[in-house]
Amino acid sequence: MGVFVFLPLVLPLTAWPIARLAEQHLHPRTATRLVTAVAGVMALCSTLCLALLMVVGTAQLPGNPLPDGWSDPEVRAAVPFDEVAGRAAIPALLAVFVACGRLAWRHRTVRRAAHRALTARPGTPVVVLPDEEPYAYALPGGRGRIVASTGLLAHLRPAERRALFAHERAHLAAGHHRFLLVVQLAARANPFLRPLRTAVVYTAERWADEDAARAVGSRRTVARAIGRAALVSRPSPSPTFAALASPGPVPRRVAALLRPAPVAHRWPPARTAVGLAAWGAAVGTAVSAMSSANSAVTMVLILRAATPL
Amino acid sequence: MGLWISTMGRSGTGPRRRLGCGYGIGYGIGIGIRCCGYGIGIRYGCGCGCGCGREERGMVRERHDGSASRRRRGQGELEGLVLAALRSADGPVNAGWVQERLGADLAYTTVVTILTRLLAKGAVTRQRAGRSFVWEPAADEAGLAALRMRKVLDGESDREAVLASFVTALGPDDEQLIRALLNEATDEPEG
Repeated sequence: MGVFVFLPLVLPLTAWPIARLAEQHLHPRTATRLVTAVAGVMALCSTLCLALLMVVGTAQLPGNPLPDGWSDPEVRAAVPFDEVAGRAAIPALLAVFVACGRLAWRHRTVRRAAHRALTARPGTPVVVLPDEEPYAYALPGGRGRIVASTGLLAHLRPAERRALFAHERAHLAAGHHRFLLVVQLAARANPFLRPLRTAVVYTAERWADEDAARAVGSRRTVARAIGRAALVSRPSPSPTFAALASPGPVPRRVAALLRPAPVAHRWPPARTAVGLAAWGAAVGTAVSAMSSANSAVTMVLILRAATPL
Repeated sequence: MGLWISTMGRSGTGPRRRLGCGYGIGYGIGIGIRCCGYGIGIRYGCGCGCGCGREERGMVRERHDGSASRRRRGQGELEGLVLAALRSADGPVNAGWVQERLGADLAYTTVVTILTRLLAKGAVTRQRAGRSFVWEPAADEAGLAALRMRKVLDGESDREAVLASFVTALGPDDEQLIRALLNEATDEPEG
C-alpha cells in the first residue's frame, strides 16, 4: 500500500477546483448537494484513515491499552513511518472530535437561545423585531421561524421585503442548515475541505435566491433586495488584502440574479469543463472511500485472525 | 459543587454570567449536564445561590417553591408575562400589584427579580415611591424579544457559522460593485 494509506487525508485537495467549477457552472441546488456529499464522504474517509493510522501505529507501543495483535507487523510494514504517523494521529483525531463536538454544541445552543428569545411572541412563522441593527435570519427547528429586524425592513420596498421572506422560507423549506452543518463539520474534520465549506455557504444562498426569484416572479427584485440589505448592513470590519480581494459573495449573488436563470441539468455532459469536474469529483470521492474501506477491511480481517473470538 | 461550577465556567464573561443553567456545566470538558434541570444536581448545584447566574435564579427559586413537577417555564416566558401585566396597568405600579395581577404561584421575590432583570435590559423603568419602587414598561413584548435576540446575536462572535444570514459582510470593493449593480437593476425595466 505504501503512501496510499495517507491518500484520504490529502485527496480533499483535488476537490478545490471541483468546488470552484460547481459553484460557477452548476445549478445552485445541484452544486450544493454535490459539494456537500463530496465533502461529507471525504471527511468521513479522512477521519477513518486517522483512526486506523492511530490503531496500527500505536497498538504495540508500551502502555497502550489496545491489544498488540491489532498491530500486525505486516500491516505496520504497509504504513510508512508507522510509529510517527500513529503518534501524530492521536492529537489530530482528538482535535477533530473536539472541534466537531464544539461546533455541534454551539449550533444547538445558539438555535435554542434564539428560539427562546422569541417565546413571548405569538407563534407566527415570521417575527419582526423592533431593532435598529439590520438583520434577517431563518431559524430552523420546530416548524422553523423567520426573524427580521425593522432596521432592515425599513430600507426595503414592499416587493423586496417579500423577496427577503421568500429567500428565508426557501432556506427553511429546503433544510439548508443541514447542508451547512455537514460542510462545517467536514471543514473541521479536514482543513483541506474548507474551500468546499465556502462554496456550499455560497451555493446555498444562491439556491435560496433562485427559489425566492421564482416565488416573487422577478429576479431583479431579489437582486435589489440583496443589494440594499447588504448596503445597510455593517461593512466588514477588517479591510485587509484589498488588492487581492475578488468580489465577495454578495455582489456575485446580485450579479448572478441579473443574468438569466441557471438551467438544472440532471448530470452535465462529460466533455465540458463542468462534466469533467463532476466526474473528477465522483472518481476522487470513490478513490478516497475505497482507500479507506480497504484499510478498514484489512484491519477487520487482521483483528479476526489475531483475536480468537 | 457550587465552587466547582464557578471554577469550571468560562472566564472573561464575569463569574456570575451564563455559568450553569442552560449552558451546561462542563463547558471546559464538554459534558452536557444541565444545571437547572433535574436531579439532585439542581438542588446542590444551583442551591439557588450557585454560579447559576442572576438570570435564572428567579426561575429556580420559583421552581423550588414546590412546583418541581410542573413544566419548566421557558426562559423569557415569565418576563413576557410580567411585562404584559405592567402594560395592562393604568400607571406605575408596585411589584405587589404585578404579583396579584399574575395570580399564579409566583413568589414576591420572583416578581422583583424579573422586574430587576427587565430593568437591566432597559425594558422597564422604575421610580422610588416611599419605601419601595413603582414600575412602568418602557418596551413592549416585541421590544423585549428584540433585546433578547440581540443578546443572542451579539454573544456569538462568528454568527454566520451558526445562522445563515440574509447577507454576509461586504469586502472592501464590494460596496462600489453593488451600487453599480443596483443601478443596473433599477435603470432597466423589470425583466
